[in-house]
Amino acid sequence: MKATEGKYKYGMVINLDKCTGCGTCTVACAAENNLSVIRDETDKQRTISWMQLFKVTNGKPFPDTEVSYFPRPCMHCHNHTPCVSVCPPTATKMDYNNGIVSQIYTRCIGCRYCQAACPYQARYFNWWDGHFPKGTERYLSPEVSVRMRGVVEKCSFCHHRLMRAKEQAYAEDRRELEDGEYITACTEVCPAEAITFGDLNDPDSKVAKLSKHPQAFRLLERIGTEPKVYYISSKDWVRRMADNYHPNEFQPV
Amino acid sequence: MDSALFPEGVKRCSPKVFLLWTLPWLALLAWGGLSAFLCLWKGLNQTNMSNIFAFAIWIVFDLAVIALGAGAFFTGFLTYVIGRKELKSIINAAVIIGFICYSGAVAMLGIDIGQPIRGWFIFWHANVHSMLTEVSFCISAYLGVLAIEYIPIILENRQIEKVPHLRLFGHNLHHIMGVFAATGTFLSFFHQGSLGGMFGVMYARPFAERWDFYVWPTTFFLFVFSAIAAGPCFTILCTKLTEAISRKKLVPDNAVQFLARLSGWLLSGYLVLKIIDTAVWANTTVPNAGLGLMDFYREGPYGIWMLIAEIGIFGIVPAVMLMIPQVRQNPAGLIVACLMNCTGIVLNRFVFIIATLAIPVMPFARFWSYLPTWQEWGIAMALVGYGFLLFSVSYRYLPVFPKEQELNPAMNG
Amino acid sequence: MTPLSFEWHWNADYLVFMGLLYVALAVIGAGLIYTFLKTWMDLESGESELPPEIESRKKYAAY
Repeated sequence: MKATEGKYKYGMVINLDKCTGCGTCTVACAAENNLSVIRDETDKQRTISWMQLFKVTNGKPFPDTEVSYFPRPCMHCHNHTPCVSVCPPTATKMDYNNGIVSQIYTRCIGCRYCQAACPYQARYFNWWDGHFPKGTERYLSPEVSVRMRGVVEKCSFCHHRLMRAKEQAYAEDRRELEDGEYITACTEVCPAEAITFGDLNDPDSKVAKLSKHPQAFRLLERIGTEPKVYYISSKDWVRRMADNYHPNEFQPV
Repeated sequence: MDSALFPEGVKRCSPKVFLLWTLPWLALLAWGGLSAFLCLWKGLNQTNMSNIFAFAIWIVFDLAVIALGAGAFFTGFLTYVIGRKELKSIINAAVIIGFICYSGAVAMLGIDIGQPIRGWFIFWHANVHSMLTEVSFCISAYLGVLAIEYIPIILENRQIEKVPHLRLFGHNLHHIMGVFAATGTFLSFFHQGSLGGMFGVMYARPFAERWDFYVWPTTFFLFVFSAIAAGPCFTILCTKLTEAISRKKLVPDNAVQFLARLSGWLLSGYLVLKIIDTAVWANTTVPNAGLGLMDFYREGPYGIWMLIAEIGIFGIVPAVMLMIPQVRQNPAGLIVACLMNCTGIVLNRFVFIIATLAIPVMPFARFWSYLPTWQEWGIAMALVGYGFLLFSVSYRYLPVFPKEQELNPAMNG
Repeated sequence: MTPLSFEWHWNADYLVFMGLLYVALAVIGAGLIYTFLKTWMDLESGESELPPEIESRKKYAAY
């Protein structure tokens, strides 16, 4: 299960200083990936949202209150991907050539062991059959399969967009993708341009440079999952929120 | 009416009384049947499981009955492989209890997975690195072994035995039972272990993660150990319950006392390892994750009481009780100790399943609670009903307790 | 899963895991086949006229 480095390693950097928590990424993701709604969307433990927004505050009273948001896609953990190693019918795999953790809906048996193993709550089970209120089915994307009840789904880094970009490159007789040619839907729509997506292995790419930013960090870094989603925040309290620390252990940048 | 089917020389209640006795269990089965139908027809939205509580009451029941059903493999191992002859008077009961526990658990798992029709994918597209694959393989194969161990008991029915082919077949099967018992022990060892391993390998959840010993986390060995410590106690409890209900002595004391004594020693051995494991975990894994031990016991009902209850009250106390001859030879002392032992092991499984999932890992994730729906309870309770029913029917028509006639000479009739 | 499955890898993980599983299944299968054959041969040789007392029952009197 050791991560053998492939040629590409797609990843994301989200600048939390820029993020306004508007939720456009969540909506765009849902539209792009044919996410089903459930009849009672207030049942937050069972709704499906590949890109989920977590609101955090510094806990101080007014007027010192500060708020930030963690948009949380699948982290596509690079080291011993927790969900991949536990899946009994091999329904989820990490493609070592591009680092994307896939989910094969028609292979998934719905045992939900992957959900138990994922610390980021990034995996969603289809408690109901896909439901698209009348009229919305016309907006379904033909590039992404809709999911049946009883299977787990999660963010795919808009894998179909990678396929599309590759086909385009092939048609233009190119072997390599340009930086920014393959980006996810959330990256594309973010009005604050808080999200950057690209190949972390390409030292010249924007995302690789941003990931080395001194204020860049990842969620739950110390448990060793090596997420491919980075965050940037200039606020110490936000960076401290990203992991568990002993008292006086956190080092401000 | 059905007395021709009873084992020779024993007394059973009238068909009417037996029918009345089965009614509550049939009612539980009907409740479970309706729940299962709803869950299969409408989907798992019939439950209160969620993306947080991906495993819930069914998995708790599953792991609990499988741990308690370990009496079958361990007693089988002691009887057929080690050759403890006194256990022959209780092995049939242990096998039937094991069969009930395992078949019930497999049936429950079939409803618990979101796409039951794809269940065979585990076998065909197996990910050999997944603990759940190991569990599925071994449980299915071991259920087959339990069925093979059950068949000779069925073939010993007074009427079936009259058919020469079947009698001979049962006899021959019994003859090589040691082979099946040994294979069963192997399979059972690995799935009891991998059930524990399932949680220990979730390295991204520090509450469940344990360090690896070779390829298995310590929970692998702790689950095996705790299952063989609790299984015999559950077998004793079931036997004692049958004795109380039928108002007869069914198993000689030497068999029961041997199992109780063994359970006591195994439980204390297990507890020593469990305490070491917990101490190592609390001092390495937990601080490495940036947490303190008490960070896990802050939210909802999942306080430090779980650890105290599991290891202290329902661990050390029954272990000591079972090791003191005066206590375990006292009928009430034996029952209380066995009950506490089983409670402790069930609590251990509950903690590893429910508390693990309830405790959020991300600092900003919130705590959610969960309560099962009537459909979830229905399926869990159906397992109880099924157990009582199958055991009652077996007791009525099969020579489950070979010493029954000898121990109750006055009742022959 | 068999070595013919497309997901099969010829490495120790697969060989040990699937190997042990198939050994266990083979033992169970061989045990059953042996029992069937023995029963069939016993019946052929006419021993079925007087089915023997089940061994384990006999032993109960011994302790």
